[in-house]
Order: sequence, then structure tokens, then C-alpha cells
Amino acid sequence: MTPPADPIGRLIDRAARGFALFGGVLLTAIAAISVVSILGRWLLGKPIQGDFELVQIACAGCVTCFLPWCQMRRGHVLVDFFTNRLPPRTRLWFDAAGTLAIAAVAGLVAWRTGAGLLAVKAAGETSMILGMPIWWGYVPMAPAFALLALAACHGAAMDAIGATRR
Amino acid sequence: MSGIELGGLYFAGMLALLALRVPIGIAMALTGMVGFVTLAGWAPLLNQLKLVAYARYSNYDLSVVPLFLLMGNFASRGGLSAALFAAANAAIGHVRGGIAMAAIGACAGFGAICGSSLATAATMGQVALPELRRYNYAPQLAAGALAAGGTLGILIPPSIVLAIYAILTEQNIAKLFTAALVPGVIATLGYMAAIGIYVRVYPGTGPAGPRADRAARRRTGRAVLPVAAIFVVMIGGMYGGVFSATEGAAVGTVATGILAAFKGMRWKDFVDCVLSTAEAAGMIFLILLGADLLNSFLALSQLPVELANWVKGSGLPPMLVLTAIVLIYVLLGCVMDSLSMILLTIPIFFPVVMGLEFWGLRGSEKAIWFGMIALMVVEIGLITPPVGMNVYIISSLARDIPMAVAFRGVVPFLMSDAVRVFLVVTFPALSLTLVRWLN
Repeated sequence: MTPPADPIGRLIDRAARGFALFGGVLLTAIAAISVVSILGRWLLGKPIQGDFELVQIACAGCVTCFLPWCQMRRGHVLVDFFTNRLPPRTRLWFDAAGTLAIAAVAGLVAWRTGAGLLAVKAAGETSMILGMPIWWGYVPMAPAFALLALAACHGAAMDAIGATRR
Repeated sequence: MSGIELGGLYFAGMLALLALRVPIGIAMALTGMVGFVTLAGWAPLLNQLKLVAYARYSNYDLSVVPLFLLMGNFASRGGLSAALFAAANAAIGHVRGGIAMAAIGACAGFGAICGSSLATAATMGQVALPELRRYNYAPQLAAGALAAGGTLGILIPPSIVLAIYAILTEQNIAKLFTAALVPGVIATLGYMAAIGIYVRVYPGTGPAGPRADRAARRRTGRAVLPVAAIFVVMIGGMYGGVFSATEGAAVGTVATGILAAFKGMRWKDFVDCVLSTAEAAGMIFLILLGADLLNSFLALSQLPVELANWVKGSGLPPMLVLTAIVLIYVLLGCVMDSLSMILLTIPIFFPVVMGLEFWGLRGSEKAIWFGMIALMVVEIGLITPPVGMNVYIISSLARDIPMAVAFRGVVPFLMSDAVRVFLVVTFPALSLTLVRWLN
């Protein structure tokens, strides 16, 4: 899949790539924490304290940051069997609607996760062992969902433009 | 309207959305949210949405999914598929149909460090197709063997689908992976047997390759030792309780990454690996979020519990119910991918199966046994028309092999699948002996 040709699309694409790479950094961190913890347990008899709490927080950030990139590469799966015989134009309209639905759901989740961040922060929840504030885990999530919504809006617009041009 | 009727109605509505090209995760999410509002109201939904994404994505066990995906990417990028195929070919390439059998063996080996079928089909297809072509293998046999061989990617542990099943049903990932070993080996041998029979029924479709000398066999065999070592450490450590599933996946990923770096993976390739992991993981996690929203609605509607109770009280023979479930999977598999099927159906089918009597199995043993059956049946969907992702991949690699020919080539392997499903259903010991023995 080639990156979009329009300037707005290119900008969103670059942002999505940035988020995906940040997710990759978090994923590498998960792998590193786990391996170091095993080595510590094995060689020195002491693991990293609360390593699984770090993994949990990193995992949440990591997979959410992957979502916008998947959208820009049109990687979110759908069932195309029943619509394959339709003319391409009609199919593109369906895709525009479906992609807009991604935007709507992602936007809603972004908004609510943002609210969740504030609520969890206000409640002062911390993790059991390390005492890390739980709201840290929410920090990358709201922007990543918002970017997913943006990417889906762009995709829906592209589908709609494609449908009218055919 | 009762909760159950509402649950059934909205579920049907969701199937309609799916048919109209709404992305699978989003169709699940929309149905779940609308249903939740109908049963509980807006305020509870908005409240639930505050925490649902973090609660779902911060699951410790779930971190194995992106790790396994990255590991599979490292394995593809690091040229491990070529080494595996060379070793398998040196070992059995000289028998009739041997090069196709070698492709199956290499797929099995690759499946041991890759949890995804599509990746296995794609990378092994690139390596083995030229060789199969050089020795004049019939196109349908070549395409069929590679598409079917690809399914070993999720059948042989580590397996992303199995990890998701474990999380959904709150089972131990390591036990499920151990249970999948024997069925995975049976699948490999069964596919090889299918090739052996096919080339005898249709002579000339799969000629024997040249015999490799001892030195070549030893040299190619040594090249795959690191792959075997990674697999043994990863799965052995997980099961032996030396480390958790996530730690095992982390060890496997780091080791495969180092191996790939030795084989010439550079920074740019590493970034490519991360980006393609992001694409595949993004797809999975959007569906996971949707499934979570759908399931909280279904749980609220009581549909799964009531259905399970009804089936239990109906006096239907358990094997008939299981056969119906298997048939539903085969049908769904014609239009859907394996992971979406598991996420969509397990919350409904699992309580039903757990409420019935099968071979006197109890608790987690029944869950493991059913997991094996579900895994094998959803994997069949990858090679059945009209939507057989593995077949698509192979025919996109080999443009001269038409899709219809490729789908015809899959038939002997489907027969082998059917025999294996029957065996695993009838003899739970095949999946459970290793788990019991290691306990």
C-alpha cells in the first residue's frame, strides 16, 4: 500500500508511523524488561520488582499506538464475500460508511478514555507493587485513538472521493 | 422483549453489518454499545467506556500477541525459512513428492517460531515455490501444499489464535501450547501422507528430487539448530514454569531478533518488522476491543448462559451439538478470518460445551480439548473457498497458478484435516497426554 498523495493524508500517515514506531519502542521495552527479569532471577536470584506492572502499562500503550498505522495501511479486516459482485462504486460507498463507523467508534473511545484518564488520576489509583500512578498507562491511549479517528475520517473521505470519480 | 431475544436479534443485526463491509471489530463494537444502551442506558455505557480500552489492552498475557508477531517478522526477515526448507529438502526431497513434503516440514518448523498462518504461507511460499517449479511439480499440488502447510503456523505452538482462546476462556497458555504439540505433529505427518497418496494416484504430479549426500544433510541440518533451540527454550521454559508465557515470548523474540541480525537484518529491516507488526497487531486489537464491548452486552442479555442451559436441558446428544458447532465454524470460515471467528463465537460456544458431558473430561481438560478442536476447525477456513486467505497468498505469489487450480489442490489436505479433527475429537488423549504427563 502506497502512502496517500494528498498533503493532509501524508501528514496523518507520518503521525501514524510515528505512533507505530513509539509502539515498537514500548514493545522492545516489554521484551527487554522480561528478559532482564528472567536473567536477574536466574543469575542473581532477584527479578525486577513488579515487572508485570511495567509490562501491563507498556502493553496498553504499545497496542493502542499500533491502531492508526493499521488504519492508514487499510489493515482492519472486513467480510467482503457478500459484496464482491457489486459495482466498485457501490463498494466504495459501503467502505466510506464502514470507515466512517471506525472514526465514530474511535472518536467516542478517545473521548471516554480521556475522561477515564482524568477520573483515574483524580482517584489517585496506583499499582500494587511499584506504586506507579495508573493514569500513566492512559496517557498514550487517548491521543492514539484520536489519531485513529482522524485516519479513518481521511480514509472515508478518500473512499467517498473515489466513489464520486468513478 | 427479554434480554435473550434482544441478544439474538442484535446478534443477527451484527451479522448483517458484517455482510455490508463494516470492519469486523467495529461491527462488534457498535452492536455491543447499542445493545448495552438498550439494556442498561447511556450513562452506564459512557462510564464503562472510560475504562474498557485500558482494561482490555493492559492484560499481561495479551502482550504475547505483539511479541509473537514481531518474532514471526524477525524469523521471515532473517531468512530462517530458507534454512528450514533446505534442511527438510535434504532429508526427504529424494522420495516421490518429496519436495512438497519438505515444504510441509519446513512450514511446521517455521510454525514453531511463528504464531501466524498467513506469515507462514507467505514466507514459505517465497522459498519453496521456485524449487517446486524447478522440479516440475503440478501447480495444484504445489499451491495446495503451501496453502495447507501455512495453516501449521497457528496449529503448531506458539499460536496467536490459541493465546487469544486461552485469554478468553481464562486457561493457562502454556498448557494449551503443550496440548497443541501432538495434534501439530499429526497434522504435519497427515499432510505429508496426503502428498504421498496424491503422487501415487496421479503419477507425474510430484517427481522425486535428487538425493542429498550426507555432508549436505549435516550442513543444512546444523543451520536449523538455532531455530530448534529457540523453540525448545521458549516452550520448555513456559511449561516448566521457568517463565511466564510473556517472558517466553520475550525470550523467543529477542533470540530470533539476534539470529536475524546475524543473518543480515539491518536497522531499516528492523523498522520494517516493527511496522508490519504494528499493522497485524492493530488489526487484532481493534477486533479484541469490539469483542469486549460485544461480550459485555451479551453477558448482560444472559444469552450465553441461557443458551448453555437450554442445550444442557434439551437432552441433545453432546456429540451432535459438537458436530453442529464444528459445521458452524466451517461455514463461518468460508467468509471470515480465524481470529474473528474465535472472538465472535467462543463466548457463546464455550459455556455450551463446558455444560455438556464429553468422555468424562473435567474443567480445564475439557477446555483444552475443545480449544484444540476449535483451533483446527477455524484453521480449515484459511484454505476453503470462497475466502481462503492462505490460498490467496499463494496465488498472489504464483501469478500463473489460477485460484481455481489452487483451491482444487487443497482438497487432499482438507481430507487429511477431516481425519485429524475426527481423531482429536474421538481421542482426547492425543491433546491431553502430554499435558498430564508434564504436570
